[in-house]
Amino acid sequence: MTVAFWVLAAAAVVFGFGVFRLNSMAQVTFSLLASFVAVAGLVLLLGLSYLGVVIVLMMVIEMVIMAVFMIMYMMNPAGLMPMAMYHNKPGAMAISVGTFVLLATGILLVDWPRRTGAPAPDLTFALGRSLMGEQMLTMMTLGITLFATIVASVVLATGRGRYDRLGDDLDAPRADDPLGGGVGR
Amino acid sequence: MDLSSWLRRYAAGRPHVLLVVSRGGTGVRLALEAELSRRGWPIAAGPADADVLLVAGAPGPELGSALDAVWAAIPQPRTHATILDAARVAVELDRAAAELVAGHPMTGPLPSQTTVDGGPVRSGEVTDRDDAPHVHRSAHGEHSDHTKHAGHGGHGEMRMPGGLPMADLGQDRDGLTLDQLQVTLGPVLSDWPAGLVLAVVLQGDVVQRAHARLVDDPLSLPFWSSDTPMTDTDRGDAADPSRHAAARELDAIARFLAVAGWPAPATRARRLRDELLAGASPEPMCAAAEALCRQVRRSRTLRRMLRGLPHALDLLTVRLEALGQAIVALRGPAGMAATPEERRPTTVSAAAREHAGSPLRSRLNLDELERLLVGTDLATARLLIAGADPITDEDSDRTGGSAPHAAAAVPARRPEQAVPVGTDGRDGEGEAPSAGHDSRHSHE
Amino acid sequence: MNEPMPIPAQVTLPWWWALLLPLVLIAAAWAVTAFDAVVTARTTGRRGGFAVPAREVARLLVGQRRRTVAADPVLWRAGSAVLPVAAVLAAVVIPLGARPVADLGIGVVWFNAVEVLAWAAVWMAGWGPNSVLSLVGGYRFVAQGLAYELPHMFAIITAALGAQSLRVTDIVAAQHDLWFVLLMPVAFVVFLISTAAMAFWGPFDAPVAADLAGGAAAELSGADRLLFSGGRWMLLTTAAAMAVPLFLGGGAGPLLPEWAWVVVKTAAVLAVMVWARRRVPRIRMDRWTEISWMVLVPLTLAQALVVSIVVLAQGGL
Repeated sequence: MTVAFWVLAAAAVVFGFGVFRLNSMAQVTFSLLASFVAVAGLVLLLGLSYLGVVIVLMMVIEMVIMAVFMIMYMMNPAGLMPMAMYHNKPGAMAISVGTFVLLATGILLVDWPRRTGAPAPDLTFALGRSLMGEQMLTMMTLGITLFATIVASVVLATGRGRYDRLGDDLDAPRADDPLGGGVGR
Repeated sequence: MDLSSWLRRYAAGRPHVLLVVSRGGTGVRLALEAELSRRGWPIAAGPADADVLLVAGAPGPELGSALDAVWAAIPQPRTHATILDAARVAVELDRAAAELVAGHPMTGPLPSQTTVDGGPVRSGEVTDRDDAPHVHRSAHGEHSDHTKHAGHGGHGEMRMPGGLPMADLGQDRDGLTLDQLQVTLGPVLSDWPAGLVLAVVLQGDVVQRAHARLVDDPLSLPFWSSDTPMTDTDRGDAADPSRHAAARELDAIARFLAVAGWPAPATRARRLRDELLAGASPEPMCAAAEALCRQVRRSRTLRRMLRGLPHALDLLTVRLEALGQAIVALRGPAGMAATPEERRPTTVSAAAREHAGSPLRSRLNLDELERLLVGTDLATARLLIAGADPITDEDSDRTGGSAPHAAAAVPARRPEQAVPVGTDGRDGEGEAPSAGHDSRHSHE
Repeated sequence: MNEPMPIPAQVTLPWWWALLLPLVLIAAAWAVTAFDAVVTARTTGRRGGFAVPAREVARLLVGQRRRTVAADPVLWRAGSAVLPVAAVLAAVVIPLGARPVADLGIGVVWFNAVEVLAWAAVWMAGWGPNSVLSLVGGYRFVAQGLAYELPHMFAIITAALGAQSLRVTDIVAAQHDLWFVLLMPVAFVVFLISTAAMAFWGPFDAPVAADLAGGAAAELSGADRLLFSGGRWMLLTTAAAMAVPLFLGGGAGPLLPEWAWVVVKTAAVLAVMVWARRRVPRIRMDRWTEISWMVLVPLTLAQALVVSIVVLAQGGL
């Protein structure tokens, strides 16, 4: 257990540092992913199996999509050219190392309270109840807000909206797309 | 016998074959495909998956240099053979398998070179090959794509990783301003017209410009042309032009289906083709080919995949109709009388029967093909090329006549297909495509 | 159900099964490969094909590994290696008989999280060699992942919903009276479709298609190709085997022991996959994404709704 903790902790830090050291966008992305997976391992060690596994699930999907978008939008062709992954190197270094030191000292110095009570037998179940029971309203609001944000940002970002595709009155029989989709509208 | 030579011997029972067809190598290709299918040797999709490099027909100088690059990309243990005569197919395949077992290193497949036995490979040697730069920047098709970033323009002097130049940006269909990659497709690709080289400018996987040309002039007469007497004697009465035409259409439809990723009917079409050329009785062949046509025509998935792609469905229809007409012609007047209730009225019209002997009219020429490809993605482009089935084994560089209905299916230019750059295949011909192909010289 | 189910004792296999599991999976994938080769041989009018996997493994073992200019070897090799690892990790929660190797309380989420690794793996394998066609193949798989992943998740979650548990053995137990394939046929079909897409199998093999000269695998040779294609077969086998506990009642069945029923049912699912590959032309993602999102996602959501109503009606939750 202790060994696993130190290995995972070291891996998380090393891969996290790799994000700054490596000079290829694809490698950086997957270094970040490896760091997240190590963190997920730490979460699993804490017994929070659901959260740990969901971190893996979401981070893999996120990082692959992020790699695609980073590479797509980068001026530097397709991330092939070696490039630094950060700007203002001293500043970035100072901030990140400073934050790390601050958090680490905080963790070490804080007088953590003793545990009172026992963990629920099924933590996933407890987590679900907690989120969907007492915090239902918060979660629903949060979810809707996030969703609206995503939709709005896509609408703002896209060059071709529905009026372009379907005409001013949205009455075109089929959308003016370079290639039709499979449903065939 | 140590382990790795035993493994090599065992693996040589089923080597993967990379098939390279020179213009004029169609006859050998057909014999090879039939023999490979009989032996169950798979045809490799690319050099990395190949053990044997088989060249059907005599390669000219340009195909030869492409072959050199392909050869360098094939992992050891490997061997090659150039087959000029369909009768030697089985012999050469046996020899290739024996050479794989022996594990002798071989020199490249250029016709000028001869095989030199340099002693057996050290057993278990699975080393990385060193990478001569020209290997990855030559014109041999799928592996010239190491020019992922080979561009043209003002960046040539910058030092880039691997010595590759930087790609240019450009407007594109989806407004993403992606890198413009110069990629040469062919002449070594599976299910690809023999000797066709397609220089394309890609953004993402969308073809922005296309320039088609053919390598090397063919040394022999076109295989399919109906007025050419067959020289190959062990192909039964294949000289019969209508039988020949039907086999040709089966070959074309098999290629289309293979590119569309539908291997089962593609295999069936190839088997029918081989049996037809081997002299099987026409009537069951005709029935089987018609059943195949029906299956393809009825596939809702295939239609759904093709619908909305520019011209893909039209070209499939052209292919199917050409096959239908070839079948009608193969049946002859007797067959016509025997099947008075033809399912598709187009094939029984007198005009259709008149045309049945001239296979040219259902094929596009390279100019038309180039126009078709602009604005399509790679998958669609492959489908269109397979559907257009350009004639590549005739002398002139721009062969192929357009059929009445093929031309009708393909309007000269669809305005919505024009890319924002404003150059399509014809206009851009002057600079980019040739630069894409010749870039290997300038960057070495 | 206010209290979580008590965890029954002795639900997992002995620990040494963890070492045996990769071998079991390799053997299963081997059998599937041989079966597929035999079917292929029959379509070309030949007999045999049983030796095909052995010959393939032999030729890839002695084959040279490929190197390309300006490649990214770390991601490239990692991409090939991750596939079999992901397949084995995903298989730990599948009951081989009555018991899995690890009976995780969040089994289905684990399964899903691990199989998603394939997504990253194929992209890395396509990215690594610095070759256009393999990169296009890698991107095709990312698009495919975006299309299949949501219906896939919903299909899995519907099974978990029906059992009111994320634990795979609980899901099997919940099918004691009625197999979930009957209760949630849509979810089952969607699971099969998305499984094929996840293993880039059959009609969904565009990422490694021959029209890209092998796509993401175009530049792989030797041991790398062995890992990649072997991992793909293992992934297919694992995902097909997962359909058994999720929808086909696990090891339930007359006469035969439970492990035998798992084998039989897995083989049946795989046979359907092998058949579908021949039956259906390749499905391209520029088409399928819209179908997946506009048709499959609403269908799976409706299926989940129906199942939750059934669960509530039976007094669940």
